Amino acid sequence: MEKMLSDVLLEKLENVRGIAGTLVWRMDEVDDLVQDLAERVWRNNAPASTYERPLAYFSKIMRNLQCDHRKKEHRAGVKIIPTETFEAYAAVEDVESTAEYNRTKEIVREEFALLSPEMQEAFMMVYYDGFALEDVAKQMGVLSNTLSKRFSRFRQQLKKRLHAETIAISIILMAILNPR
Amino acid sequence: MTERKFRKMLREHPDLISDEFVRSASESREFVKASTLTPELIVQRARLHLDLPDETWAHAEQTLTKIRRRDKCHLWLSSFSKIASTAFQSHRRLAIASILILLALAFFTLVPTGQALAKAAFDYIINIIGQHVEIVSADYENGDYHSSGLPPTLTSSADFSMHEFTTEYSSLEEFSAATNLNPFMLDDDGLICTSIIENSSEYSGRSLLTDYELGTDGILTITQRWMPDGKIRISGNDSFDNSFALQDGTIVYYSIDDQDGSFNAIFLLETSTCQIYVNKEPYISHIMTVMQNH
Repeated sequence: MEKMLSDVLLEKLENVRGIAGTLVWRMDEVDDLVQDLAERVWRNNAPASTYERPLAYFSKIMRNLQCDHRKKEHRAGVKIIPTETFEAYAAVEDVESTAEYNRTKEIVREEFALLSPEMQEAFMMVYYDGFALEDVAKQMGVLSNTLSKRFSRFRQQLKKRLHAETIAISIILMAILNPR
Repeated sequence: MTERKFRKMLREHPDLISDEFVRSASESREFVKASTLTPELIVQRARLHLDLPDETWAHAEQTLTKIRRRDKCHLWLSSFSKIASTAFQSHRRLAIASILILLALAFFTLVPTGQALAKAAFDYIINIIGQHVEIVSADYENGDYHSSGLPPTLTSSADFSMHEFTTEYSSLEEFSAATNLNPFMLDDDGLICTSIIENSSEYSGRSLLTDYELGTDGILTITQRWMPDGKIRISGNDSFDNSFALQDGTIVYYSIDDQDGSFNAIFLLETSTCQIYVNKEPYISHIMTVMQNH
């Protein structure tokens, strides 16, 4: 009996649920997302050996499913209030750190937006889904070295911006604390 | 920013890049523990929604059976580890002692160094015990031997024959006259006879050991055996690859040791077997010539 992708999904259900949990807020949504994934896998079932990283593949499908779902909700004008988001946690802990975190997020997103849509998707596949750099590079039709260098440039640029931001905040704080 | 740090940052805060993510992987793992979605439920729902051939669902059922078996095993393992950890906490000393004993046993039986140590210790103990062991024969337990401190008087020939006798002769002629047996003799001026000793017992029969000196440092030993039943038997560990014949046609099989160059020969006579040993190579050819002229 050849092992199919659907078998991997059933066997690794706990991990799949974990991935789904990073994408949706409520438990019933987690279950629905996993069910949607399972049905999609069964429709296009293939031998597991054809996928080197089945969990990365599942993660990508669930991301796409969730993205479609949100678009539909947005069109329908549905607004879901998050119950357990990072922001919610941070807000309770410390207002200052929340502001700092939001600023960091802003910078990261600005830098990320500068990447081409193709590079953005490659980034998501490598850093979130867990695909191998070589596989993604192959899919994009570039050398893995090239892709690696592009990611490295992105990280360096991000580091530079965050560093500059930290210095600016420090100067403002010093000016406030020592007015002379 | 290094790749490792960057990955760690994204793992802890996946929402930094996109709003698609609502919680980190570690938080999610904790969160989904409460989920009631089972593999069975997924298959059951998918069957309702999808129109796929029966083989697909039969395959899925087989996978579910496998998963059930695996979960059962995991459950058993986790309960065992729980019991083991509880037992370990309540009987810590006993558990540590047992583990240490098991490790020591494994070391002395499985590891080559341990095996060598165990063997050395065993030999040492056996050596110590062996020096204090007294072997007491049940036959003499209540006899005169122990009470008087003297050996028992031999009363029959059977008892007599249990013992080995050694007799020394001054010449082979004297041995021949005393025993009525024909010893194998080598006649050569270079051979100086140094000792003639006869060993005799009922089990091993008679054997005659004749030692000669040869040149400055040569030694020649002739061992001739007569079996008690008159039959001739020959045995040895050496492989006698070479041979030559005596004048009477007797075939002598011999070998020369690669290590020390000594000569060992064996041959059958009418009523006995004969072994000849020469310690050094320079004398071998001379002895072989003497034998061939015998």
